[in-house]
Amino acid sequence: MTAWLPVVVGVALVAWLALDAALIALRGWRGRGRLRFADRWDALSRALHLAAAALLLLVFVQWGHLPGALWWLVVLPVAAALSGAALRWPELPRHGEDGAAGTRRASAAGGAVLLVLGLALVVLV
Amino acid sequence: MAVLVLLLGFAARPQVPSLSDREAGDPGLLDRARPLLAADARERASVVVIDGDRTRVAHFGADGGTVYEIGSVTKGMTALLLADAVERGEVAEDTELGAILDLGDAPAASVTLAELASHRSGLPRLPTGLAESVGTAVAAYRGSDPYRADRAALVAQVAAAGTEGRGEVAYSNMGAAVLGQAVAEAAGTDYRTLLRERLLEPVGMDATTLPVTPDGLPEDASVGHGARGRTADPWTSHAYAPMGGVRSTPGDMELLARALLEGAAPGADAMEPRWDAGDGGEVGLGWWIDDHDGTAVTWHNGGTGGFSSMFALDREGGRAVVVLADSSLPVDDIGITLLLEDA
Repeated sequence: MTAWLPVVVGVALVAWLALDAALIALRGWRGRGRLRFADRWDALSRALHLAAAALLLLVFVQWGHLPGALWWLVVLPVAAALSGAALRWPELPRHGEDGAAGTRRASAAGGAVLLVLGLALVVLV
Repeated sequence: MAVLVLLLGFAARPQVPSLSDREAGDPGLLDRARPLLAADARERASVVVIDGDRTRVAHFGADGGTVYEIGSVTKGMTALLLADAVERGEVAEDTELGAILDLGDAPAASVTLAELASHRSGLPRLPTGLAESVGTAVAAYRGSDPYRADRAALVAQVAAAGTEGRGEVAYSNMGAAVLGQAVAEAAGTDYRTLLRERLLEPVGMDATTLPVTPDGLPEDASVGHGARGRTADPWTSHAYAPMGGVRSTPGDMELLARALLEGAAPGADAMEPRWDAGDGGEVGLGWWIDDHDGTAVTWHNGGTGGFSSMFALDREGGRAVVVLADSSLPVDDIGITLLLEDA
């Protein structure tokens, strides 16, 4: 018999990450309109946060309660999102012109810290 | 990039065990237990159902001699040892802890053995020091044994602990651990010897052990799985062993259940309901008693980093169910469901 709380939490977190990854993928693959990267720092920040979130999900979700296929609902959108960011990278400006490049740089640094934390947890736990 | 992420995703995928298709036992019970057990990640599991003289078993990747950590079912055994020691006149239920262990004028010194056994001592669930709390949280998360204190450290933790809420039921691993150490001290021996001589040997539980430390484990010790699917370290619990350190088999659990149903086990009076548990149920010495639609179920569950267990008795109906599994995901509901079916 399954405990429902970890199932609901796990499914909700996977759904949230899959949706976030899909939106990032759209920014990369479409590359225009409102859904686009402002600059390279924006793309890097979103990619780092997404990768870190995937690692933290791997570590913290109680996968024993969930079907293994759910993991691929994390991996496939993340693969699409990171590929999209990499695809769009060459044509992105180094710094956006909206004056928020500094904020995005700080956000990217935060994403890098989270990624290192996620990697450490995956290795150590 | 996509291929790289997919390869990394494959390499890092959760390693979740699935229920073994190597089955043995009663066909009907296998059919009934399989979907219940397969709903969560576990590889090996055993179910024992006792109904009067009849015993049915269902094993998945296991047999009657497979060793499982039974976790807090050990607390029920510790309570049996207390009731037995009371019958022998070595201690009384109202013997104060400070009369056995050197606790100075600590609040816990005046706590009685009955209060410890029934989780009414006011002692915390676990040590509350910052370093101990962090260590316990990290170890529990990693699936490694969070109980590293030796006997002297346990006594020091108890001496440092408060007893707020004393008199009301609040589950305490610390209380159950120091209870076992105190009963052994009063008997002039150590807890492992007390358990073996007064419970395991009289009941014939030859395959049941209390390793206490990792050195006491065999090289091929069973390994379980945590809630995240990864393999977990064995829990031996050191000085906390009286609250959760026993490793046992389905065969031995059947012997214990039968001895308890027949009242033949040492200290079986421990299971008598005595105090309000505060959740609609009652508690005896170490055993919980809940009413399920008119059926009084006497039970204790257990959980370690890699194993879970449920030991439930319908004493009135002469029925018992034991569920053991190699995953920390609880099996309580499975045990209750099987016990109440056809009750």
